[in-house]
Amino acid sequence: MDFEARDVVKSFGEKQVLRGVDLQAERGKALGLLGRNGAGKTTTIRIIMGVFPPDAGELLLDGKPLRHEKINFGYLPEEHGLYPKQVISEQLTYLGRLRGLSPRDARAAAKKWLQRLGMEEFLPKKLDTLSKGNQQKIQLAAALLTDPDFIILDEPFSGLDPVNAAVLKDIIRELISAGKLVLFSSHQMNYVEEFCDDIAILNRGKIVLAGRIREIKRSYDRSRIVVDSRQAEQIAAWCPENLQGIVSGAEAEGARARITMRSADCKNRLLAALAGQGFDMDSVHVFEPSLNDIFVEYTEDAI
Amino acid sequence: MKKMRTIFGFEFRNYAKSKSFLILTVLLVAAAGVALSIPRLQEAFGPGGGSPAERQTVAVVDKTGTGAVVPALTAAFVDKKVAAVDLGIDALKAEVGNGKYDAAFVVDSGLHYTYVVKNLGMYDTTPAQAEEALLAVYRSQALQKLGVSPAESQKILSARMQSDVVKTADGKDQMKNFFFTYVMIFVLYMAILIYGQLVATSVATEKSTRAMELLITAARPTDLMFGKVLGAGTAGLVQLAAILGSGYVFYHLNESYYRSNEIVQSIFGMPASILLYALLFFLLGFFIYAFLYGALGSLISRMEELNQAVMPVTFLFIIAFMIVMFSMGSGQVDNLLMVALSYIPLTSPMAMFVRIAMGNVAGWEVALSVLILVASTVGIGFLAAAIYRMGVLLYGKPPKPGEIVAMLRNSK
Repeated sequence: MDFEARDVVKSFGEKQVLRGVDLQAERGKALGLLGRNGAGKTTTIRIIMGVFPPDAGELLLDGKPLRHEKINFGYLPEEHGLYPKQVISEQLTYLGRLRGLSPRDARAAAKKWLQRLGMEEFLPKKLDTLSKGNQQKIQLAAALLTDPDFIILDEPFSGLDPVNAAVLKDIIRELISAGKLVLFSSHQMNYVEEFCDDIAILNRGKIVLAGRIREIKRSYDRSRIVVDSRQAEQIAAWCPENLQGIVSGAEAEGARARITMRSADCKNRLLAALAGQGFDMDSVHVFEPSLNDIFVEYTEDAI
Repeated sequence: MKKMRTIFGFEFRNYAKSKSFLILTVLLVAAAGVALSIPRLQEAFGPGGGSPAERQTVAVVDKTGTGAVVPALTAAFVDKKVAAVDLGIDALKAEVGNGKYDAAFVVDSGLHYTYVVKNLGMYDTTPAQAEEALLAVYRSQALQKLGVSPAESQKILSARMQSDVVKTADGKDQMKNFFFTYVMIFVLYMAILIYGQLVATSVATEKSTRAMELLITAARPTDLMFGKVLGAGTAGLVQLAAILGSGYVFYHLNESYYRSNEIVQSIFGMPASILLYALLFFLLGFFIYAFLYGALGSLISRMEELNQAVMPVTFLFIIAFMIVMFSMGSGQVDNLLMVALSYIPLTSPMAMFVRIAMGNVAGWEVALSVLILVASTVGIGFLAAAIYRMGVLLYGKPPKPGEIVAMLRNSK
């Protein structure tokens, strides 16, 4: 484990926001931090960043207590955290210098990132003259300016059009493959599934589910089979009638049939029977819940 | 230190490069130039105050029968025309009302007159001038009745007292010092209010745009707070230096016009020691308030709440300003209240400066006041940084003073 948060507790006044949060993240594998609004995601992120300390619990990096002044964080906040009325090159240089770059390096880094994002011509412009999506890209440049080791992205795709989203995806993939610690927080499950190997679902200030997405999905009941076929309706009708020992139910929806088996072990027998019957099948796979389904399942009761 | 310099530079440039800063500076420099050049401009373009076309006419009804009233008033009103008329009081009122005469005097006897005027101006010196002339006439006639010759009575009546004033070495000339003290206190007042608000706004903007969260993870709160306040302070001083400096230059360009103007001469002839004290109290007063304003700015989450949040400090400051101004006006700058205020950090920059300029203070008193002020300014600076640090956490309703104290204690 490269980064670990252990039993982090935080209250604001009477309200306990985090009630013992445990997190693990590995270098080169993005961790998706999921949770509904108000679950405590931003508070968790702020504690990791050192915006304020936790009331209890510890943060570890490579097993040793994490020292904020030693770590180069890159933080993309959900809400925009720059100066709307200031020239972009100046505020990027300023933030770079505050985080330890020399004036020259800071200017060069600002230029490099804006080139990478295809926004070089915006360097002398004021931030509030840009569209929301472009402001988000400037914010990203600000986060990555100092080539940080630990990157925290809070809703990075909000406001981006598909082209910009693709640019950002490339950058995130690069960061992951460069072995950085990447913490990714989003409500858009498709993005989380795309980048993250691991997820942690936060609900009411506690982690309710954590681990490899693949393993979490495999842990679900594997007794449902999805068949894509133009004969979906015939398949759905045929199975319950002729395979009563194996199949407990089936339904068709367009060109897709969902077959519920009596147990997951019956998979091969079902496949053999369907093949023997000569159905024209495009694909057959075990049904796995989407991340969305899992998320809803674990957070539905919350708030 | 390095980060503080970076923050200082960024903040200073933000102020110095902003359009409002440049426009205000240019406008004030121009205003200083125009104001100080008014006598020269008047001479160059104006027709001068005493041209016959503009001379006012005063009607005089002499009922004393001595015949001395009209010549005496004509001599007294050098800048007015005097017309001897014989009209009743109602007719005179009508004539003054319709503008034929600017004013009228009905002299009933040696010691009574009626003044008829349309609007009684606040600074109308006409009755006073008339009174003096009429009294002289009365006295001269009374003396003549007693057998004193007109020449002798003239001599007695026009006698003037000669005097010399010797001050002790540490004494103050309140009259002379009043004007520049007034100017310096007023400048201090304006600068603190304007720049205090700017610091509060700057901090509150960072809070409301959440830039503060990025900053707080990159630099220490003390670096941020001191960098910001020093940046604003330096910008303020540069602006003031430009305005006061250009005022000084314009004064010297027009110096010949101010030879007889004691007020202007006293302002620009301020002793160097007073100027240095002004600078010292100015810096300390400026920073102590800027820190407070900065701390208050960090407590709010939306810009709309800013005015309400800074109100207590602004009120406190205005009250201190009024007390100091009233004390100056009364001439009692060493009264008990002023002595107390000259040691209290938030009021001492103004109160102690006024006492130094216009009152009697011992060296140790000044030293003690400055010491308290320096210690408090540094203390409030660190306190402001701690509040700023804590302010990052606060969203929603601005906290009450008690809650701030509790949170500061918990964060230790």
